[in-house]
Amino acid sequence: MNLNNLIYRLATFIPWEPKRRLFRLEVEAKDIELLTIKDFVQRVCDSAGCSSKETSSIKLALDEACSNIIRHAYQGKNIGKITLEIGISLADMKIKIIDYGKPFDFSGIKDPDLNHYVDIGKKGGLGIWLIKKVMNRVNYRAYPDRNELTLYRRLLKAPPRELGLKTTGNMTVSTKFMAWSAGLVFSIVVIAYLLLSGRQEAQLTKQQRENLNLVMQTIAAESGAAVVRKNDLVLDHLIYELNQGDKGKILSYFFIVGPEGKILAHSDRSQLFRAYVPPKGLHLSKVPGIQAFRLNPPEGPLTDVASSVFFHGQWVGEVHAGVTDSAVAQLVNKTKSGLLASLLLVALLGVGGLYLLSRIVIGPFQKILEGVHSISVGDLSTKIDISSQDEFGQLANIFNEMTGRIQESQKGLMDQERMQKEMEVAQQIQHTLLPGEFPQIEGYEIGATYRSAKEVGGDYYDFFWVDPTTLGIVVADVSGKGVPGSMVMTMIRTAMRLEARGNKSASDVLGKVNSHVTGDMKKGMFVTMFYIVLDSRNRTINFASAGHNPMILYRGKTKEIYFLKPKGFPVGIDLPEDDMFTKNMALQRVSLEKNDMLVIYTDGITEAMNPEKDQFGEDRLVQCIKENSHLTPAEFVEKLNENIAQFTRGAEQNDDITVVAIKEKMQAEQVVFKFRKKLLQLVEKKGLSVTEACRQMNISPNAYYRFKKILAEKGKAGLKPARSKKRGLMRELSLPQKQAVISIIRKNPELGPQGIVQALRKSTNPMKIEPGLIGEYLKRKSLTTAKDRQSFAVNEVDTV
Amino acid sequence: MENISVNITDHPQNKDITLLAVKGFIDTTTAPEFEKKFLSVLGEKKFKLVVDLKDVNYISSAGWGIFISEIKRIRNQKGDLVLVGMNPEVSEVFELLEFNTILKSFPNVDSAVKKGFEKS
Repeated sequence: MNLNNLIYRLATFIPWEPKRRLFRLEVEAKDIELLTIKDFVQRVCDSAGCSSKETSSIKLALDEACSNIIRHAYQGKNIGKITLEIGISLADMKIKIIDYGKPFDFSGIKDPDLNHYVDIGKKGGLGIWLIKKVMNRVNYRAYPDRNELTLYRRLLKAPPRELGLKTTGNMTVSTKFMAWSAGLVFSIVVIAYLLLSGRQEAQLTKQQRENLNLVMQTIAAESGAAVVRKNDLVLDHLIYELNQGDKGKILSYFFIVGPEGKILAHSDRSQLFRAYVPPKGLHLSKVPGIQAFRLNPPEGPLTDVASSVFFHGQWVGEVHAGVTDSAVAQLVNKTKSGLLASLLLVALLGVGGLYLLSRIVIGPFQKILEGVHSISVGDLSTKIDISSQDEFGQLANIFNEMTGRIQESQKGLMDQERMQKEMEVAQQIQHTLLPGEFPQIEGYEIGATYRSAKEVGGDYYDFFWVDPTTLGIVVADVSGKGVPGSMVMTMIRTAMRLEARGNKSASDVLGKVNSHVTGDMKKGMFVTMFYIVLDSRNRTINFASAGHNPMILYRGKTKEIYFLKPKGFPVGIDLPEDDMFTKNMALQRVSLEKNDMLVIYTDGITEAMNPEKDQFGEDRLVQCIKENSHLTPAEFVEKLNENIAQFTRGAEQNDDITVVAIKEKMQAEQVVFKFRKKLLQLVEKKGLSVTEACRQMNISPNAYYRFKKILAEKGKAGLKPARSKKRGLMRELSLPQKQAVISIIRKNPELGPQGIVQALRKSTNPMKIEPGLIGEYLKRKSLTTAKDRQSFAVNEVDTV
Repeated sequence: MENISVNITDHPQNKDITLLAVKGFIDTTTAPEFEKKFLSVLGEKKFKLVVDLKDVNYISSAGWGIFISEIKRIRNQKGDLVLVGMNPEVSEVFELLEFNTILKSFPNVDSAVKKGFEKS
């Protein structure tokens, strides 16, 4: 057993309550919570450093107690609570189990007779017995509002974790300190004793001898006259005085011998007047001065201190005193033990003082250790309460600050981690939603790019076949980010793919999608969408926008830019009337000429920022389109990406970027011509049946026969479709046209569409525009009446 | 939640001995499940029982109660119930509750089969 263990064991017998670390748990009184309780006990026992056997038996006792509470106090009704409070100290564990159910007659429980159990096949009622067996002390008390079962268990194993750092073996710093200092103090005492006792012994012996010599000289001098005159009274008195003076009782005998060799006075009166026979080895010379002789009589070795007695220079007798060695030794020992006792007292006081000192000095250290320990088991709310201003106080302050920071940063980290996880999920969803390569569609070239921001943005684009010759392309921007945004995207994608099939009207599809998803979208979330339908057979493009940014049309021939933005609310907005979305949504059509380009994009492009926080903007986008209209759409989007990269110069992309560019590969009429030619060739050159060829080309046999007739009547040229008059005409004003119209309205707000047409013709840069188009434009800008235009003219801040 | 499982098999060599291999823990929550299986074995008139507790980390009084409440009936049928493979924690309680005066225990199934059912 080591010192620590001994101390712990001793501590268990100290009557005062030790300071305990408290653990608390409150659970519902249900069977399922027994597992929670077991886990809790496991953790507490781990923290107390219990052995697995100890842990197991403590667990068992608590399990029994709580099972009883559930079964009996609460009668299995699954209502009520159980509160556990476990306090652990160095030496024991105090467990308080509180319930608020029916009290129970604890004293009525007797130790079971196991043989009786076996005899009658009884199985219950062992729990309390088990608790009593496992615990060192069990108390039960029923209060009016609660019942308390208190269990004590001594912990035999020293709990190393309680004390935190292990130093030498199992010793704590304070034990080690005390052991060393006690050792030191006692060594000092031993050395002091050895030094002091030797010297004291020598001193004592010397002093004794000197004293004795002095006394003997005095007696020799004083006894001379009395010996001569045979004055026994005086001699007797001398003996008496000598006896009195011998405080240390070191003299075994003392006597005076007269001139005739007779003992005249003796400490032992029975020896009086006998003849003195000097023992062997004693030859007293008849000279003045003290003489000493070592004698070895049967009673033990002694020193005979003697002196001759003279009277007026005449030898008259001798005096003798016997100093036994044992008496001297006794005296010396007595003095030595006195010395030892006082040194020990000093040592004890010293050790006691050191102990108190160590408590004062190391106490805060223990507190800090406890704090560090709490943190190591994950309790970051621990605060160390040390108010002193010394190094420990500073350490405690630093510690408290540190735990505070760790707690904060941990919280931040957890939030961040959660966000990160969510973002990852969202990104995964978003990436699975993205389409692959654009499919080949007759007569059109398509290029697309999608770049997700680091933090997932809300862009989404997709394409799908509306029918075998018609492609739908959708570009959308969801207002919400993260997982909710991705969920909306998923919904939109499904709804789009479902509704687009077979429906060539862009606005109609968007309307249906909106009615599908609006109910399921969180309030405040919405999606802007641009949906374009490319019909490769009829060479028409129709599109609709749900509040999305405009599609840019570049006319290669005139180098004009058009912003095409059909009316439409964003998808997912809770509009006051059900049909408002569809009613408000406009459908537009456009046909492309060679070198025309359509660009659909999300605001990630125009809002791309450089490190100075300038935005890329519409102007740069338009510029890029103008400069690169000769490229194929794929090359163009590449070029646009490059331009954006050059502009942002590595600044972090904060929104998704999506661009889709579409170009007409050849004249629409040519595509139709090629198609018709191919159809006829399939039948005539490849030998396919009319039905099969028509099936492959997805056209009715009637059309085939019509084309065949035309070929027979007008030859190949007849197959070329007539060039539509409207083709190439834009049912929308171009940007310069709009600017011209606006400037006329500013100058002459009273002019209506017709008047504006006239004014445009007469202007320095004459333009020919249909009055209808201008009428439409005015309508869209709510400038139909002269009054509207007047107020607009006054109000400077409006754009095209 | 699977907190207890009881695998009941006949001993390959001694067909009249039944092995009950228990896995998990036996406390108030799982005792009824164990008792059901245990009683079903007795119901089949199998009375030479070896309960393998090597995969049991915990037995509360509810579990111990089941063993001692049936032991008389088993012995009256000239059978016995022996426990094997108790881990140190379980074994400590077994001894603490003095069940070692009532039930025989062995380190493993083989020694239990060899010595557990000798006439004493």
